Amino acid sequence: MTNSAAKPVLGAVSDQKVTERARGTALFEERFLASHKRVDRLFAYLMMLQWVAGIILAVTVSPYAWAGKTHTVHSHVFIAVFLGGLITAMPVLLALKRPGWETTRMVIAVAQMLWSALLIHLSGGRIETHFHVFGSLAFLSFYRDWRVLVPATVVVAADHFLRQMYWPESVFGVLVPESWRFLEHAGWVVFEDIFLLISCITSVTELKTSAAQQAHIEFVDRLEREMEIASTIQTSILPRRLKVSGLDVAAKMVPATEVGGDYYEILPTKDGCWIGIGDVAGHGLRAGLVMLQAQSAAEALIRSVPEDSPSSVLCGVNRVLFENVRNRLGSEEHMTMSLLHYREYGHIVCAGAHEEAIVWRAKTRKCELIPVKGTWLGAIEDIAAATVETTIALGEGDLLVLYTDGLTESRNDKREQFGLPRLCDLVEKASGESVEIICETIVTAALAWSMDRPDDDVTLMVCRQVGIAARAAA
Amino acid sequence: MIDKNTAIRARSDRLFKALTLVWLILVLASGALMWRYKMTGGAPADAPARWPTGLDFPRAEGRPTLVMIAHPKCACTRASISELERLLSSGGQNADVHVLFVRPTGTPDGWERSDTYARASQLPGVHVHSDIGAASAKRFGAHVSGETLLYDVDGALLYHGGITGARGHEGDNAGRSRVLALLQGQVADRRDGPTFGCDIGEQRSRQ
Repeated sequence: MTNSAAKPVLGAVSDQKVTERARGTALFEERFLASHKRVDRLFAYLMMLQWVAGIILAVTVSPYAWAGKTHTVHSHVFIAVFLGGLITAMPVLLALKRPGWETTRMVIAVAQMLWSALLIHLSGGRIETHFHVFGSLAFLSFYRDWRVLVPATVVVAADHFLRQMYWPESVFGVLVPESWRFLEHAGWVVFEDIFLLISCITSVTELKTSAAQQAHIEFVDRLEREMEIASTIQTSILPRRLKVSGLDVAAKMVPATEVGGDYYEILPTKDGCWIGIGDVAGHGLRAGLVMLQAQSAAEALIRSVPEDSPSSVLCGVNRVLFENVRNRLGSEEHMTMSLLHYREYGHIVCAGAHEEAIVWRAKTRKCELIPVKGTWLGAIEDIAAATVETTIALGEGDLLVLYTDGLTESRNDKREQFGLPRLCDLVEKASGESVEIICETIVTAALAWSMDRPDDDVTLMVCRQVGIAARAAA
Repeated sequence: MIDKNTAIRARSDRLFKALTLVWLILVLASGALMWRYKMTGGAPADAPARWPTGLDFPRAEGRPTLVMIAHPKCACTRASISELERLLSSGGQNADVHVLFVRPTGTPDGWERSDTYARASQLPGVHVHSDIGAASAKRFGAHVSGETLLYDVDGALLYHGGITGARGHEGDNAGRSRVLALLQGQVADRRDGPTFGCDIGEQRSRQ
């Protein structure tokens, strides 16, 4: 089976941005629809209220039609009941059965303006009732959809047109109005429409912004949760048991972000242990995931052949990383890694590209720097030719200090590096303490140097050779 | 399953759109009927060309006389009184104005004293009369509440018809404009107009 979708999973931030935008759009549409449904319901209630008000108005203002002393129910009452009911029926039906539908709000817009006309009629043309037109337009803007203003305005325009044709005085106050008078009346409606239009567009923009912010918050929350999980996983795979025959070991890692790209390992063997330290280029989730792969590969190889050589294990880890990171993930992460095979009589074979190892000699009370030769893991397919093994011999009480560049290159506010000399100086000064205190002292000093804001992950391992003299005596 | 639901939804949408179209047609048709009813006046008055005799009140000397026939309980009378008020406040105050509230035969005393009667009584310079059995209304040949007649200083008929634009509808209208023009000595396009109001309900007879 071939995997044609070999796109860079670790570099999928742009994909996540697309997902965030899609979520923002979905949230906007969801809220816009909910808003439309809510306003539809409001209008359904308003329509019924207007119907009742229309009937009350008709019964109050013109209950009867008279012919001398006899009377019958006035046509206004029938008009209020039946025409009012007819105008109300369709928008209420649509608001109940098709809330949020575009046609629903268009019908509501038309019906609302028809109600304006009917109420004006039932009130006997009271000038105050004409305010219903402007109030209705404002109410329609609750939809935040400027398009509903179009049918509403068309109804008003049609009403004006018919009145100009058949009863111009009712609109314009004179029998033969000037031709531009229609523009004056239409102008006031358009005047309100313009402001409502601006209001609708602004409101929609704000809703979109709010939805985008919500989507971003959700995205960040999810990312933080995922980072937390990744951090927990990474922390849980760090070695918990640092007890090794012949060696006191202390180690500490301080990631620059939730997930670090540094690596350290202690794998005890029958006659000593394997020690590993490494650093993936960069830090964060991507670096942490590569580190996890390197750790898994190294542990699997060492546990399967504990007596293997460090260079052989490193070549195996390199093949795993190169295949997974370069070929499958399509990414370019790479890392430095040193593996040290320690035997309890103080003999160490190490290989791999990493920072120089520091060996503090108990006899001289001075630090020595031991270069570790090799090349990056994950950069090329085969590193066998570039991987050279080096040996180190530890005497009783000697300290082996391994670290990542996050420690030596941490910078203070003047952008000065912590530096290897300062590290060696600290090792020499604290050499009389336990490995745990030495480790804590150095890491604390490095963090203080960077004002607790390290640019990169900081890892330190301090090992002290012990027990040679006791064994010799035994 | 999704396709089936989509098809059902699409069919439902078409149904609602068709219903909307029917609704719109029904509303427009009903609106047209309402408009027609509203704009249809009552029977025109057989207005005498000269000031009639036998009235309970005299014609004013030296100025025009305006008479309005009103049914006290007709909803349209409210609009007619409002328009009369506007007429008087916009240049028509030089006329001697009489509003005759018809009290049909067989109705008790005070039957005609409605809210519109009270309102008309409060208009400055307006004489309000109870027209028992529509006796005076008959002399003016009026059949419909809101009928307004304007006689000049010599007792000649200048205008007869309504001063509202539609049934029970306040607002500027041709009838009021014509009366105002005539009162101000101008020429009106017509000397009559439709009257919108209730039937005053008495036998038609003019003396």
